[in-house]
Amino acid sequence: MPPMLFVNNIEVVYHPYILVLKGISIKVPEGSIVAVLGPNGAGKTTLLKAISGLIKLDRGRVTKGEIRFRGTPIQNRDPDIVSRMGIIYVAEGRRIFKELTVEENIEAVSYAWGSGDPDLVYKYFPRLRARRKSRAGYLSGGEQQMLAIGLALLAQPRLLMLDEPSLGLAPKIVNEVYESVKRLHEEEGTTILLAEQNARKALEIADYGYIIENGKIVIEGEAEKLRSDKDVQEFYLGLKKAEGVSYRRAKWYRRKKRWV
Amino acid sequence: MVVLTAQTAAVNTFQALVMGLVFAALGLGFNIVYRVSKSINLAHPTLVLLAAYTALVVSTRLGAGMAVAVAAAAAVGAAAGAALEVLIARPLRGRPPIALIAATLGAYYVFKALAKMIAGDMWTTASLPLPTFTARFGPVVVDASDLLALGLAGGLVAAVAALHRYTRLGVAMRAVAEDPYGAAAYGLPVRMLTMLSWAIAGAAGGVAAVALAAKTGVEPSLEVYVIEALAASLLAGLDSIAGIVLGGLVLGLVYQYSNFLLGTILPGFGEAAAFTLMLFVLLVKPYGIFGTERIERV
Ligand SMILES: Nc1ncnc2c1ncn2[C@@H]1O[C@H](COP(=O)(O)OP(=O)(O)O)[C@@H](O)[C@H]1O
Ligand SMILES: [Mg+2]
Repeated sequence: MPPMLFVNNIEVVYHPYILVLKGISIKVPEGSIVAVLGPNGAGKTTLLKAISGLIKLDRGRVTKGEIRFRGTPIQNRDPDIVSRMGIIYVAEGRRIFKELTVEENIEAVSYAWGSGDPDLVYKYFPRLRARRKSRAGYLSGGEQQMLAIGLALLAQPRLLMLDEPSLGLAPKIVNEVYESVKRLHEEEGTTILLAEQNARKALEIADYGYIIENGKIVIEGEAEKLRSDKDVQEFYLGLKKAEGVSYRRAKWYRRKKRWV
Repeated sequence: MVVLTAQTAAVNTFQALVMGLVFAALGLGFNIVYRVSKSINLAHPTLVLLAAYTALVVSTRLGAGMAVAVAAAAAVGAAAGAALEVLIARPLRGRPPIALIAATLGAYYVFKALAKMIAGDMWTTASLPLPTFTARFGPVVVDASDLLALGLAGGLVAAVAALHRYTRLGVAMRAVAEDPYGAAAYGLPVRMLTMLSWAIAGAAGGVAAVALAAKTGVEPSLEVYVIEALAASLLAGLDSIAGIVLGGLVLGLVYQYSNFLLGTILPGFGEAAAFTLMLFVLLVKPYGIFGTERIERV
């Protein structure tokens, strides 16, 4: 069976000639969690935005290759069309409507989807119920991230794309967010594409992972394999000290300090 | 020399209240557009002019009732607002706000020309055909023009506030106004909601036009009142309806009392006072009294 999402050797260019993704291929099978890992600036966000069509609003486009969702090519489509097909992107940096209350955030997104059972949000993020009258801008970082993911659920996505849900959150809160993501994956059957710098956390829930550097995939494999892979352990999970490293490895190692 | 007695104070304060609400209603259009497009719609004043002459023509030439005239003015305003969005605001999205401001200044003259065309040989000073009716509350005499202006302006402000606060559509419009990019990611129909916001701003201009015309009559330079209402909107910081009402009321008081007390010595001082107030506010509080400080993103 073909995968739900198939990204086939794409190149992405930002206006005017900034080549950011240099031939990336990934597969997301239905019902799985796939992680895209890599340091800051690797191109994770660009990949997710290329899939969602939001790249257009940043004056970027897919110049080579193709993106297929359930067999239909979707590269360079408008973001509203892609979201109608069931692909919802939760942007990095907790992009919620900060001037609206939690409840109003839910109402606004419900308007787009006609459905909008607020209980769906509160089911997976019960903390938000007590804060439903607060302005979203006054929520804690963790609560804002929960709201951002909760809003996406209102669209009943087939493919949920999460961009760095752990960024800037305390480890305890990261665990809580990841618990909820895992739970909604299991209970709603949502397929998830997860971009993270926090490789360790992402590989805890993912089935498969891709490591991107500088717009190219450098390693890929089953999450279990990646967790036990010596290179990955050294450079992406920070488990061992590196010694006698090649230039390329040394570069990874330096990066490790920044983002693992 | 005019004297301020308890009686004249009551009469003038009532008129100031009426004009204040009319100013607030005229300012709503600026408020709605500013929130969704972060820009000042300089075509709003002549959009109001166009709607006022539409109401005049429909009510006198076609002999239709006032309700029909209001509906026609609102429809023309809505169409003009939607056209501004589609033809100007949408192509200029992502450009510096000044580009859109300049483009709406061009539309200012287009709407003025359209108003003249619709008016035809009525392009003069005229009054709306209102029923003769007066009621007396102590020293204050209320006539049909006061009732119409109060009802339309007050009803309009309440309706727009309720739309934004209590309906899903209105809340979605606020979401798009705050972050169109994020709204698109969550599947909100951003283009449609942006156009709808401009259309509602235009319809509000149309309804406010009839409220204004009821008080001042229709004249080829009617848009001056709307430019004064921009003062009320700036006073409020352009992004809060409660603030716009207060700004309108303050302006109504300044306008009414400067005309009453100084009008015989310095005719037309009401307008001057309003513009002076606007200038002062911009110097002291560039984001308005209630406005939140915003970084203009280019
Ligand atoms: N709108 C844009 N225009 C030009 N270059 C961009 C734009 N957005 C991102 N980039 C560049 O693309 C590269 C990848 O960025 P990004 O996809 O955000 O990486 P990541 O999400 O992995 O941190 C970076 O070098 C970044 O500077
Ligand atoms: Mg990123």
